[in-house]
Amino acid sequence: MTVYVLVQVLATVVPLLLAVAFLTLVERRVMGAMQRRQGPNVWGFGGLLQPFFDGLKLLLKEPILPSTADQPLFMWAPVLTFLTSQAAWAALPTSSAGAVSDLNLGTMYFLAIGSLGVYGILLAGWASNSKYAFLGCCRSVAQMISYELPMGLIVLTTAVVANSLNWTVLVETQQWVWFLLPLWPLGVIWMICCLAETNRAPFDLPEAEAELVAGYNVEYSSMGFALFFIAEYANLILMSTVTSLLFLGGTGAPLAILSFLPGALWLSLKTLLVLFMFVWVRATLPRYRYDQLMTLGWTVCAVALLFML
Amino acid sequence: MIEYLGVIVYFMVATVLGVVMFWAATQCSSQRLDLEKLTAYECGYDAFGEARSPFDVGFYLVAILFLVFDLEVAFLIPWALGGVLSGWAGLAALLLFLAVLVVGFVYEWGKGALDWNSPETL
Amino acid sequence: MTSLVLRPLCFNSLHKKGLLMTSMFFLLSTGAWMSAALVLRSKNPVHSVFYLVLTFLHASGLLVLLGLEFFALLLLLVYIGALAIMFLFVVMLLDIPATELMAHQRGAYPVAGLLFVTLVISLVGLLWQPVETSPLVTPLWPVVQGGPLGLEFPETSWQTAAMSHSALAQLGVALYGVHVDLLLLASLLLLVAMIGAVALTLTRRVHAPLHDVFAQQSVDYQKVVSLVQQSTQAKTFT
Repeated sequence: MTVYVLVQVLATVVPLLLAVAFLTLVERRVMGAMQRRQGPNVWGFGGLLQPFFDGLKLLLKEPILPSTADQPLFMWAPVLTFLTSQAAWAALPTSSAGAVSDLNLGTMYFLAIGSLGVYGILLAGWASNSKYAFLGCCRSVAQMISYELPMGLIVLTTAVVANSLNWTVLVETQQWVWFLLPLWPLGVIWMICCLAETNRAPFDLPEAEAELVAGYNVEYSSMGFALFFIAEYANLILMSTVTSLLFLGGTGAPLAILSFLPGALWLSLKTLLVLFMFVWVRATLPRYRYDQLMTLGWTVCAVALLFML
Repeated sequence: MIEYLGVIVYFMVATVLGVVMFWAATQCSSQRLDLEKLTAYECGYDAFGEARSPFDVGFYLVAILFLVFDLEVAFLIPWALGGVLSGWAGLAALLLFLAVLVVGFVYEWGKGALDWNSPETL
Repeated sequence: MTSLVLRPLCFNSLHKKGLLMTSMFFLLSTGAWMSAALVLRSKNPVHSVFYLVLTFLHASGLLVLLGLEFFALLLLLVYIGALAIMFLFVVMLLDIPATELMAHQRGAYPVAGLLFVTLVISLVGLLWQPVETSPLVTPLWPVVQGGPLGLEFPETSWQTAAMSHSALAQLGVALYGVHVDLLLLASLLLLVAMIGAVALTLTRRVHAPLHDVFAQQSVDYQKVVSLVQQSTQAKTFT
């Protein structure tokens, strides 16, 4: 039983890590195309080997532990961030076979792991014992917790519509009509919250190059940085998958005649669409100033509350 | 309850993977320690003053407000499943509950607690 | 809610509950004890709070073992996700140096001793009591049909509810149907918390000239620069 679950877990983790690796490449090429230039296209056919060489480079760099840093916490922070970005996948049905653990409170589990994800950043900022890192981490944490509220309310609203907190039931309820059609304002708010939650443009002030020099992970090099990086992109893919599950019908086909294709394929296509939109937004919109960001967060929360009614 | 086995296995696998990646980096890389490398980054200068200076109380306010609203969401979660079952009375209860909290939210908004720090305090 | 009692787990549970449950219980409870001890032992307050978070995590796991999934996730969501973050912000704001921590410890022993004795007495009283009462049967709010306000409270038969609906649905009915008064009291409590937080921490800020972005962007640029008079000293106002 445990072995079977272990195989399921590995079957979700390994493709996810590959997906993260290729997502970095996809993002760079797509952003390049939007900015009328080419992204990385040297290594491999069309740049396909680029992520692996990036990973190799990060592996071979020297891991620096600053002398004034809080050493055990410093080393645990990237591992914790990586952990929470992976653990949320347990409740999501990534194929027609269902989720790794089909929790009856799956949506609540996802929210709880999202709340837990804040700790990696908090640990990193504090343990680095550096002003830039600490300020970046505080802003990042405040931003993430502000936008977790509307996320919770939106998930709850869709759960009310589906009359269950189980992800599989949520997906099945969308057989006839995707939630995007009746609940499209919530969909818009949800996209905004996803961007803010993953510290992604246009809400990426906490890790902006010009302002805070990569914020809370300024002291990290080599694998610590790589783990943060992987965790960020894994979080991005997680949010895209959750968007597809919540609003775009998850593993179901758009038309009934097309349902012979596997559910995982449909989920992947929808996730890719949402990811493309995230990358598009990054290439297009300018960055929000921090106070504007926070004000927006609380107004968004109010709107989500009203929609809940 | 057996579904949580997947959660536990996921936690353990992710932890092991993270620790292995971290450890692999220390093994595969060259270590040439240098005093300059070990000091904190501050755009090339030596660090000014204490790194853990007291920070803005606005962060604290955000944390408290988040706590209150998170508790509100926690009260709303049982309604998602049991609300329809409890009929019109349940809906009335929900509306009363939300009304009280909306009053609080409007108070905050009016007081300006939701507008983040004005630019010169950053 | 039925009053919960954690009876001391006896060793023949291996047959009843299986190896996985027993081993998880021992691991989680040992972890909880150790984390709690480390909360008290660590010199750094930030470390203490992180060990507190670990204690909460273990407690959440123990709740899963008891079959209370909702409360396990609620612990994760509210305690770890909101409360501990608030604690962390407070501790990082205060930044207590270690020497002050040591200085204030001497006077705490009598108070700690008193609290410890109280705790032991209450634990003994908790663990050795019969497990029979269930307040769900006798709700605080009388369940009446067609009361003075014309509201009809649903008649819930808890046996049929237990068969057909999930635990969370029943909790919803109990909270929003039967114990509404407690719910509204809770909402008032949250309101007080909100207002208190704002009243305590909001400082009067120097009123900076607010950037009205819309007004700034909608300026007619043709009218910004104008020539006042054609004289030897031509003044231009920008």
